[in-house]
Amino acid sequence: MRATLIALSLWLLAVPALAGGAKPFVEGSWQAIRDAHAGKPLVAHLWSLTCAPCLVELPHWARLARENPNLRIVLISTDGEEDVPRMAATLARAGLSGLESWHFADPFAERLRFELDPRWRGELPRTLLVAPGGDVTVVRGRGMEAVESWSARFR
Amino acid sequence: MRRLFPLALLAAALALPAAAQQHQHGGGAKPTGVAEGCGPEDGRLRCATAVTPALGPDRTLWLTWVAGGKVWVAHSPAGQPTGPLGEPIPLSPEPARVDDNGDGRPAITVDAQGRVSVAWAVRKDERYNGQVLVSHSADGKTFTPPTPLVPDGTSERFPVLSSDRQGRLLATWIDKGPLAEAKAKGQPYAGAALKAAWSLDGGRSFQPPVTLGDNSCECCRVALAWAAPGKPVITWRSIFDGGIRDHALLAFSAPDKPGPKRRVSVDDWKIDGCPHHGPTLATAGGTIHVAWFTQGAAREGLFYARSGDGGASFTVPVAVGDPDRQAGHAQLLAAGDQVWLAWKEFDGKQSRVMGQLSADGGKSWTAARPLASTADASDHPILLSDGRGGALLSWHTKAEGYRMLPLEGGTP
Repeated sequence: MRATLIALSLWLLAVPALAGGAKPFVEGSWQAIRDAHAGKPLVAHLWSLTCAPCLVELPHWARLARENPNLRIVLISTDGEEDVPRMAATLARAGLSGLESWHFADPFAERLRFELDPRWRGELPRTLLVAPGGDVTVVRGRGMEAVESWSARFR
Repeated sequence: MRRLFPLALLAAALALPAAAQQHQHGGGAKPTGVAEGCGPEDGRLRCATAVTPALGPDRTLWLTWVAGGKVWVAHSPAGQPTGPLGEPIPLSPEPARVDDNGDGRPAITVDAQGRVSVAWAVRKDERYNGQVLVSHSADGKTFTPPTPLVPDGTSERFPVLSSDRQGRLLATWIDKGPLAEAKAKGQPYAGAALKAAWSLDGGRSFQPPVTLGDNSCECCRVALAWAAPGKPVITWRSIFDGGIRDHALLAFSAPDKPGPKRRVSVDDWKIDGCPHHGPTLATAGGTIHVAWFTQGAAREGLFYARSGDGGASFTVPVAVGDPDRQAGHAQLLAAGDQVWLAWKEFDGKQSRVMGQLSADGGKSWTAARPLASTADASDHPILLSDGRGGALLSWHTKAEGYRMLPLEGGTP
């Protein structure tokens, strides 16, 4: 009985990791993320399962997180609810299960994009660097070097 | 100067009979963007996320869409492109994962004899490899079972179909075969390839594929128009040296003679990413009109240019729309000196299709004005000829359903 309970609780603990902990990103989520990490250097990486260059780059985000414990790294996928299990598997393979993860949960994607970056037409990958003071720098396409040099300021 | 706006707000309430055989199986996540009340195998037009139109020679409007995992077609009465649609016809026997989002969508063409061809891409695996299937109808009533456009291909997606007035049909698509071949030899290969195949029987069978351009963008719709019968013009996002994803254009001098690859504009957009944002093209009176989206070092936003010499040179790109309102997904249509340009914007609350009209072959334009709007998810807008020198706006929105709006302008 006790062993079963332990097994059950372990299983329950494992569920968020299996699900990648991906939270639904809706209207207002971006402000909530910024509020939650206010005063800290925040890296919001926008990606999708449909974006081959994003997938190539994913493992590097695990390294960035390891090397920069001060950074708040948030992954936001533009994939919908139906892709959450595949997202979780992909993030697990890249060693990213531990990172804060969101997925687009409003089919009115223009609205979500507008909140994140009014000039963003949906091209991926894209990374928003939010300095502790609130200044936002946009990195278009694969730009791990730009992210690393920005991050170095906060080591 | 003529104004451009919908003639009537009667958005052609295209009432549609419920599609036959709507089995309701539990489970299976509903695709995002689908209207309320649509079951997982609901094939109705209102349950689509992307709708592609084509006009027949007798001014019958044909639509194709994906809903419930199947590809459907339906058509209006002859001569009434904004008339009520008939019973939808399913083209695929079993539900599949069909590309139906934004630039990846079913293609449809109706040739001068009224023969209808539809092409769509199904996902073959979890790695975004696809296969293009084609279904054909000689009489507009019965359609052939879908057959692969490329029988032994690696990955084909983003199909486009277009017919000239003399019985030729050209299919283009984005093909990852050359990428796989290069990988097998241990060689690098950027992006995918633009391929094409002719059909001389209205889309029933296709000649072997030809590669029109190596190193194309993997995820952007290709634009195709005709300078003259047998002389298609194609524009697409290509990867130039250094990973620059700018636009290329190719004009055929004969069906078997694709011209050289030209560069529409040096925008210098270096991006190792997926813009998911193809260009648009229209031809009339010897002029090629092109509009495209870029975030290049040289210019950012939505742009228009034209060529009077078959693509050898282009005018200086002119900015279109409001870049702070996500202006994108432009559409061009030309008839003589009349040129319509439409695109989508979002102001934080509403998405709008904006439009402007030129009466002098693209030299000057009316002010941009809204043509239609919605406060929820929407498809890309599509412009098509009404068959009488005028323009129609085709737009599918989650909240309002499918709309077909006649636009002002055109030959009286």
